[in-house]
Amino acid sequence: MLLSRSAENLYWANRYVERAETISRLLDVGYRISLLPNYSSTHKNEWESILLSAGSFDGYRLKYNEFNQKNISDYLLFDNENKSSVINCMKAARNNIRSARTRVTNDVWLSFNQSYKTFQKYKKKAYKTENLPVLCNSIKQETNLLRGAIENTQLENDGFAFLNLGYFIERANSTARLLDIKYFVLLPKKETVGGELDKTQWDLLLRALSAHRAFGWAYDGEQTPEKIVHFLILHPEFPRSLIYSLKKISLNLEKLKLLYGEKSSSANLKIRNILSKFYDLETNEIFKDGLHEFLTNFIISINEVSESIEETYFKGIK
Amino acid sequence: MQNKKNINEMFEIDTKGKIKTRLPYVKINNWIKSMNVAEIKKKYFDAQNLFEKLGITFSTYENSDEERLLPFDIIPRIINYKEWQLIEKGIKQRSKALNAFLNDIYNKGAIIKAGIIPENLIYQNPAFEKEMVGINVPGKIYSHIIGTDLVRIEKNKFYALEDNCRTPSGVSYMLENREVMMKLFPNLFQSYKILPIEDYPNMLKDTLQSLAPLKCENEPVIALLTPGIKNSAYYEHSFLSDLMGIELVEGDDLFGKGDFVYIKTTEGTKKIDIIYRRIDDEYLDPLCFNPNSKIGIPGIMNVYRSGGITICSAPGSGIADDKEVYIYVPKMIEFYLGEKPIIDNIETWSCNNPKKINYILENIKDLVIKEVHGSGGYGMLIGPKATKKEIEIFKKRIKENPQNYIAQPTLNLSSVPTVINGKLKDRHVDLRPFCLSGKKTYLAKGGLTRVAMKEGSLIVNSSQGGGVKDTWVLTG
Repeated sequence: MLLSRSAENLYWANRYVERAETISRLLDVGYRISLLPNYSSTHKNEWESILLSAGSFDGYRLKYNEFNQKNISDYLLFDNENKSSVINCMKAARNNIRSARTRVTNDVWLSFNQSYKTFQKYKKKAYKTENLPVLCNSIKQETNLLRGAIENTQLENDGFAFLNLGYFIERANSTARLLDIKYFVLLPKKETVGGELDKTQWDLLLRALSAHRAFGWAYDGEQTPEKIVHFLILHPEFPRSLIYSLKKISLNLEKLKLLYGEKSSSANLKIRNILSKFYDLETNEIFKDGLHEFLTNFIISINEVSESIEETYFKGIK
Repeated sequence: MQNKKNINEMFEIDTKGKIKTRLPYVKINNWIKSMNVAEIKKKYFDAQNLFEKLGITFSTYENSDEERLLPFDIIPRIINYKEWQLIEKGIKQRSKALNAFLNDIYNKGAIIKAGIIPENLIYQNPAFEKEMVGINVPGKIYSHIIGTDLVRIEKNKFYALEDNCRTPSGVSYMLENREVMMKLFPNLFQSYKILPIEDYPNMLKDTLQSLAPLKCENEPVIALLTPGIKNSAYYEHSFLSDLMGIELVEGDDLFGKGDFVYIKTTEGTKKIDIIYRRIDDEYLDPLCFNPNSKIGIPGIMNVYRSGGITICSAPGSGIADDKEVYIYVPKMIEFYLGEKPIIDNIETWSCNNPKKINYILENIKDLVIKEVHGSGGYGMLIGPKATKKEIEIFKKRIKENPQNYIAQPTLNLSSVPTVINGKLKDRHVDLRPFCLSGKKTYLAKGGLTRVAMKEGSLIVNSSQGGGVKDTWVLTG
């Protein structure tokens, strides 16, 4: 027996973990861009795009006039007023786990508690430019630890399925957003596609997804936009590709269906529908219809799956 | 009483005037002596770190985002078996009498008709819950967990200072203090023979399970109802439900419908039978009590009345720990059980007693004045520690509303050496054992020793900076 609220807590705990990680990855991209030689001519755009993709643009503008690294990283990492700041995500994740305390192992609780406490301590340290990549890296390390604790100690029951659904719904979302930022926001003008700057940005995107090396293993040779898009959307082995997340979502929904001995839920049907289209998809089709349109539609359909999950399992009434 | 020096639990002065370590503490004292200040400090920090890592915290309502650690002291409080046997009998006796009293006043009111307790004290009391009158309560048990606060003010004698009959907290600290001590100092546990307390969660579950409601035909399903993660005792709520393997629920997870209360699960709704609630009466049912409550379960009182659910503790149990009703507990024991009280009350006077009011006002600087409905160490005056101004304020208040106050002598609580900045200092303590009442009565073989961390202070409440110690009951 799993309380609807506990299922919701587990689901959101991991969505917040994944979100915190995405923000740190975004900031890492911003930082790397700022180290490029032609940084000064484009940086405004890029920092703006990072705020946009973190969903924090409007909030930031209310507070600051200027786009600079110090303000932006402060706002995205530590600002209590920013709902999606890393510190608020870690806090929300930890409080969700605390609410579902009787559904997680001691190891899982200790690691969520510890991560939040560790991050709180960072906040007190004085800001230095060179600290940003160190911080971003330590956030990734913390979230890896949280995952390890879950994988190694939790029973693989319905609660585990909700934890995983949280990850992969959020991850599908964030990969799509990161990709969209690159294509739609960083390079609005057609003529620059394929130029030096374009290449550097694709490279940065791969790095931000910790996929630089993995891409090299999967595709020999040059980084072309087609290959990278195929990798991030359609590669079945890359843990941050869209299709990978979709498969995991589908798997976990099937598992719930089996455990509860029920008919396919609307979430189940929706995810199957999306997946079936993905199996037949070719990269050139995506480019033909426009990558941005493709990603926008993808995010809409993933959000529909998320709503169906909430409707089916978190309301408690069937 | 107040002129004598307080009892030290670890040391006594022998007939020759020499300081002597009391027998149960000899090994502890040797252990402490074997360490220097730096080592003691290190042990102290190790313990605090363990608590912090485990997230054993409590939050204060003034700043609900802040989670604080309860100061934990590594020097245990030790009670020998002979003394414990007396405590056990005495506490069980009180618990039985208090439950008999609650059953009586919500039904026939025999103790009032017999003229033993004044009618007004009960029926005019804000803690008297009219909604409870005539309800058939499972097992006739109203208060399932009673935490009686004991104080030692004479060498071989404990007194009962108050009985917490609503939802006494602190039992998780009793259990975790022991865990931390066992982790840090296993050698002490090998050299002492200490009665285990780990069976408490199982006994609590048995107690709750033994009181299934009338209409329950299945194995009863139990849930612990918490106000949520911002509540100061949330850690305890999650800890206990985890150990008992029962659901930890919030008001929104439940609803009353027809004859039963249901919880919302991922597989639809499920009936539940027994609720161990850790929210106050007032918030339990917005349809019956405070209509603005957002943490309660609308309709639960109707289900309760018709025998569809057991609520632990029953609404209205709080009248049994009213500070003026307390005065009558020894008489309850005689009236309901036909026995002499094993543990005595502290001498207490109602300021409403015309024969005592002059004595109280004249001697106020030696007395403790408590608000009848106050708790947590708030709303009280400790005469010997109060300023002239505070005394004048209380005198005025007592004259205006004598029925709101009681007076007690200032108690010289016993003390146990406690680590303060790496050195041992005497600090005052009390003791809260936890008594369970279901089909059987059970007392955990230990308790929570609360410590006033400030020098000379008599206030042990955690909300006011009090700390805790592990409490050892030695085998016979």
